[in-house]
Amino acid sequence: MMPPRGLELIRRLFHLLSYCKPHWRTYLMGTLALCFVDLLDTFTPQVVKWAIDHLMFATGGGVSAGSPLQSWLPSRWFGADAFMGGMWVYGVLYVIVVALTGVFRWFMSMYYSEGAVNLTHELRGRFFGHVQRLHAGYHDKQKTGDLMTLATSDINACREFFWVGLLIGFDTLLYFMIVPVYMAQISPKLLLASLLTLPLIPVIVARLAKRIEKRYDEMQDQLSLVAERARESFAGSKVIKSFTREDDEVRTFARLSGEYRRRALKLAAIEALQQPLLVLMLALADLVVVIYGGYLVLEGFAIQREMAAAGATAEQINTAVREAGAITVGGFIAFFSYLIRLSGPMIGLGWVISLFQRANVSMQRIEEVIHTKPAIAEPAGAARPAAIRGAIEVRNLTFAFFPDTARDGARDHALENISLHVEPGRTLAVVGPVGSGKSTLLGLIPRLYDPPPGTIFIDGVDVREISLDVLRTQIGSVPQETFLFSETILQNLALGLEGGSEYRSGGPQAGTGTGILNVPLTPEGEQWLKQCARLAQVEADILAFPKQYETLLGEKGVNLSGGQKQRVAIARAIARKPAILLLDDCLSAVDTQTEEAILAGLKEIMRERTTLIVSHRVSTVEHADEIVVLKEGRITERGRHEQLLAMKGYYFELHRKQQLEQELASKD
Amino acid sequence: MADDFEDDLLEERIKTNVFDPVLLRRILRYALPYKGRILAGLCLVLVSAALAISPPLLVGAMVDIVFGTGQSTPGQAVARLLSLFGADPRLWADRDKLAAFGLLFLLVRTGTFFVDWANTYVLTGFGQRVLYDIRVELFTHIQNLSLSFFHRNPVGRLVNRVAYDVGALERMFSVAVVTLCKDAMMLTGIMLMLFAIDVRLALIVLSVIPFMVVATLIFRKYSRGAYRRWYAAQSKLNAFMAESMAGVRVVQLFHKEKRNDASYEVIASDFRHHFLAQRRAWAYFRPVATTLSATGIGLVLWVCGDAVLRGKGMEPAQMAVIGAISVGVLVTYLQYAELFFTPIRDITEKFDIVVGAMTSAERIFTILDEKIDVADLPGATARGRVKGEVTFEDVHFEYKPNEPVLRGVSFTIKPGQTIAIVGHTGAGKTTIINLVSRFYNIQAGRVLIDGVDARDYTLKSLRRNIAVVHQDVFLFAGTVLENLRLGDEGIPRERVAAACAAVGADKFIERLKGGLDAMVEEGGKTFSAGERQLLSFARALVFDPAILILDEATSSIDTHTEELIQAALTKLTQGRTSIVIAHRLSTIQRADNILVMHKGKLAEHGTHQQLLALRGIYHRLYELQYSALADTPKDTGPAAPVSSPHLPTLPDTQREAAAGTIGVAGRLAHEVADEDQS
Repeated sequence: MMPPRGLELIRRLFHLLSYCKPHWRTYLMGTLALCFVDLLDTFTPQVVKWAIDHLMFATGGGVSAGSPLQSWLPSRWFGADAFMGGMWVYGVLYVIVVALTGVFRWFMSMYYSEGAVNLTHELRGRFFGHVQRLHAGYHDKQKTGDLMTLATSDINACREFFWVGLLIGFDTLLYFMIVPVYMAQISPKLLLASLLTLPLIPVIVARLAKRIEKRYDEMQDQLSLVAERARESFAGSKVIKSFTREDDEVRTFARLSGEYRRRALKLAAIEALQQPLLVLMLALADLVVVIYGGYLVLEGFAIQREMAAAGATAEQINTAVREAGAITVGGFIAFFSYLIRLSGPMIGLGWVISLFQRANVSMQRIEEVIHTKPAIAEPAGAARPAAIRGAIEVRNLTFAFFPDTARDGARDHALENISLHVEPGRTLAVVGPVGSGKSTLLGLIPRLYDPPPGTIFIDGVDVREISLDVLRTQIGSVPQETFLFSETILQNLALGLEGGSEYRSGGPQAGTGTGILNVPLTPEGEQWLKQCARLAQVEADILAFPKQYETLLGEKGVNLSGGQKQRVAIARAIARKPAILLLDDCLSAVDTQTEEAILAGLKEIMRERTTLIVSHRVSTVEHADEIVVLKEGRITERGRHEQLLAMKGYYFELHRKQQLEQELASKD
Repeated sequence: MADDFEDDLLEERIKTNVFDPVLLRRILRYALPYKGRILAGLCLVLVSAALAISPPLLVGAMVDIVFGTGQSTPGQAVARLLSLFGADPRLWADRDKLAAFGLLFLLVRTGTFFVDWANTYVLTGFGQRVLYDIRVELFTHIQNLSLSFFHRNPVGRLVNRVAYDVGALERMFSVAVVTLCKDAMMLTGIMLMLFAIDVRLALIVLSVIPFMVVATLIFRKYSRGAYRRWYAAQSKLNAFMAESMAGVRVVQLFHKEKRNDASYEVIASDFRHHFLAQRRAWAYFRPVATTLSATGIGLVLWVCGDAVLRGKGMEPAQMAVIGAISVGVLVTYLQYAELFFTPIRDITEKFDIVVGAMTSAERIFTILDEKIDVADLPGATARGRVKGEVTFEDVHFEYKPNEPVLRGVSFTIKPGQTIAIVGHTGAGKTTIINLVSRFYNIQAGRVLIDGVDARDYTLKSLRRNIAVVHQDVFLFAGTVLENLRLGDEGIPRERVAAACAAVGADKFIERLKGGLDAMVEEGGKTFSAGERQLLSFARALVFDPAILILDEATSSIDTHTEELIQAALTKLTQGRTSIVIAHRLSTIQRADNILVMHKGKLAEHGTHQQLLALRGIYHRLYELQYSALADTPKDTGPAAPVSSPHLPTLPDTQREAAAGTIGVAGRLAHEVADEDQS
């Protein structure tokens, strides 16, 4: 891909800068401080110039009218008696100027980092908030790692630009405006002569940068190969060990690493050139100052000698020297300092450009996500029924994850022609082979995925027209893959109370774990959660931990077993007191006895709520009011336990096998 | 890389002691083999530092000589240098003096250019070589670690270590070390120069150094704490975001978005706070440092300036007596004072790089310290081709303590026999075949090959006698040929082609563009399950093992391929001991002996007919699978026609087990930990 050029780049630059708008005050203050820093910093060589001119004048060693300070300040300060020769004035002035620079530098630095960090804080927050609300279908395709790269590396690239990039950018601009003024004041001729080589610098930087970039890419490509090979070798370690190919693998890896080293050196050969070459370019300017500047100083000497012989005053000599374009020794020395002060920004310019380019790419990636519309959003004019009874109706539902590629008849449809009706308080069970569409069906009801309009109704209202708020608060889900957060067990259970509940007391409060914010609970709320844990048969497990309900889960806490996790997830779901309970194969890691206990506990609750339960176990589903068998997205059998057994189909076979297995398991 | 990104983020480890001497010494040990290079590099650094400190001398000398502002040590030194070209340069015409200095400047500058270039190049070369060594050592070590190590560590994490953590070390070697060396030399050089010119003045100018040191120490103490807090806040923020994104479905189902927004505000504000605190440390340090160095320059202006004034109109000899100096010396001092404080700033700025490198180094060494637990025992001998007798003598084995997988298994397989192992998931079938190749060390009992303990073989000589065909066929990126001979260039192409023909893989290979030289795309996803199976058969045949181990694939295959595979199997098992974890009835029926595993023990054994007649576990397993009326629940592919009945065993991967295989099997899979990880 060709990098964008010219106008497009400028447009992008302004686009990036538009992000600064909300923070313009901070940036303005920072830039003001920056102006002072640059003004003061460029003043320091002037102090040195004055000091040397003073010395030259005092010792009569060469042309100089002395320094202006001598005429501005009381002469007794420079008397032989006060602090010896009086040079302390220059020393103190120098320190004061630099100290003042430091004060402004502090403000500059703090304002700029604050601006940048606030800007990225908001950007990251926007990104994060948006990603959380993007539909499940988006997350199916997106790796968490990739999103995290955006939230970290790419955000950091932006921060660098809005901080260092802008700072150096303005700094460079100011230096190019101020420094030449001082230099021209010393000698316009010398300025022109010395700046002759400087324009070469950006050209050389740009040229080198292009070649460096190419070799850098080559090196990075090789690094990818190295990483890829390592990945393959580690992933295939079983094969490699089985066939004792370790030595070959090491040899191949060493060869690839060797090539990486070769390319890194090839890059180094040219990258090592960059800095010295820049210094050399500046040195050429130095050389001009030494020879031409030296010549101008000597010229001044000659004029002085001539006029002094003719008896002219210092004032007259000075004017004559300046008119002839000659310079003083102080000016000569100061010129060196100014050259050095220009060199920094020259080099910085290249850096700013690369920071900008990186931020540009990163911002585009971030914006791409931010501008992705969540496919599932709050419906316009959403229905907000106060209470849901829990009647579920599915009418001729046909669903495909990728409707664009789905064709009639092909198996691109996850579900086909599903019609179901569940009365409030009834239980529907779904069984079927892996991949038959059971989880998909359960995901459509709380609109994790969007069903086609007019296919799924709750209490007679299309789910697409019910407010997401209401819909999801009224549905308690236990997904197939149990996901608990790295918070305390109690807070994980309290997740069930999210989105408003009589058991919450006020807004979120500080807490432990990754989520930081805890849901504050009323005493009754805590009691309720514990009761749910009891119902889900997980309380005994929890009480066995030293910190009981306050036990932290996850990385830095306790790792629950698969069965414990499933039971916590069940407790979490019933804690919402939902009208509809969706249980997606949530007892697979629980042994039969616990399962029976859980089912017994749930029976009470299930009587009041509509329950959809997916399972592989006949024992889990046999008491359901209706059981449907899904195969390849279609309903192949439906009815009650006894009816299905009589059909001698899939369900019957499943039942027979599980009986056999139970017999096997009891054998020792 | 990206998939395992969170993994590293969640690993909230902060180096407590950045300059851990043990760690440093360990890193430096890798530099030792390159003494010559280091020496050359140091010499170049020395020259480079010398060149870097010469311009102030030259400018000072120039002021004195060309502008006639007096005599001085630098002036005299340069004058002596120039007088090598002819008479006393002070007597030259002004223009000649100028030209001479111009030339000197040019020499120094071009010299700097070449020396710095060479210097960076040499040191980068050194750094790259060290890295190469570390990288290859790390890779070799990981390769030799046992399979249990691979179970504990996700591949992505290992790749990060090999590719990226080693890279972080590189920056330390190439950037930090070089700059630090040069800076140190420059500082020393400048100090020497200052003292050589005038001891008294040098002492006055350098009097700010102690303050500088104190300021730096205070800053480092403060900034290190701030840095660590910032780092911790960052880890926390990243962990929070990673978890919320990974659990985004639960977040949405339970309406946690708003609370997460609020949490983000709190956590990210904390991060922002610590970021700014860390910056504030810098913001304080920088002005203090510049003001201190400005004090040095101010002192030069004052003290040296007065010293110049004192010598007004005096002869050089007199000047020396009262401690007066020339303007040239003042200029030299001024420029040195400016130069002196840049390296100090530099050193502090290299802090970040070193911190990063140390963290990476620690991670790398953690892996290098991992003991290779399955290794050649002392006294193990390399043996040639075995006959192929395999004996288990009361073998006990567990992957995790107190979770036995094999509980006293004994059997003998005679050379050339084909035996089938059947049993439930978690019964210990995979473990048995893993132990034949000694992928793990057993806790008790013996595994004997040709009557000799497997531990008395060198690993290489043992495994060279065994070929394993895994259920999930792993294909490497590369050509088909490379995949079949696995990088062993010593195996002639013809033999590979013959093996392909023997197992009937030649037909579809021929159809590939490039035949044997066709590239394997996307880890072999373009091949059908049956084709991958045939490729793995060919691979095993190429290596012509005495013992063949086969974990039959469970995936359904069309009738034609099924026939091909059965024919290939006959070829493959001919004339060698074969151990097959069997799923296909035909395979089982053909076996000389069937071992029925149940709960870590050998429950029954015998031929198909004998076992059926026993009406025990085997009979049940057989009924369970074989007399299927409808689709079996384990059927993963909806469109897959079942051509041949599959015998016992439910899908062998844990994912499917977790996704809910039928009752007992699912439960067993969880009880018997890790059996299926392999």
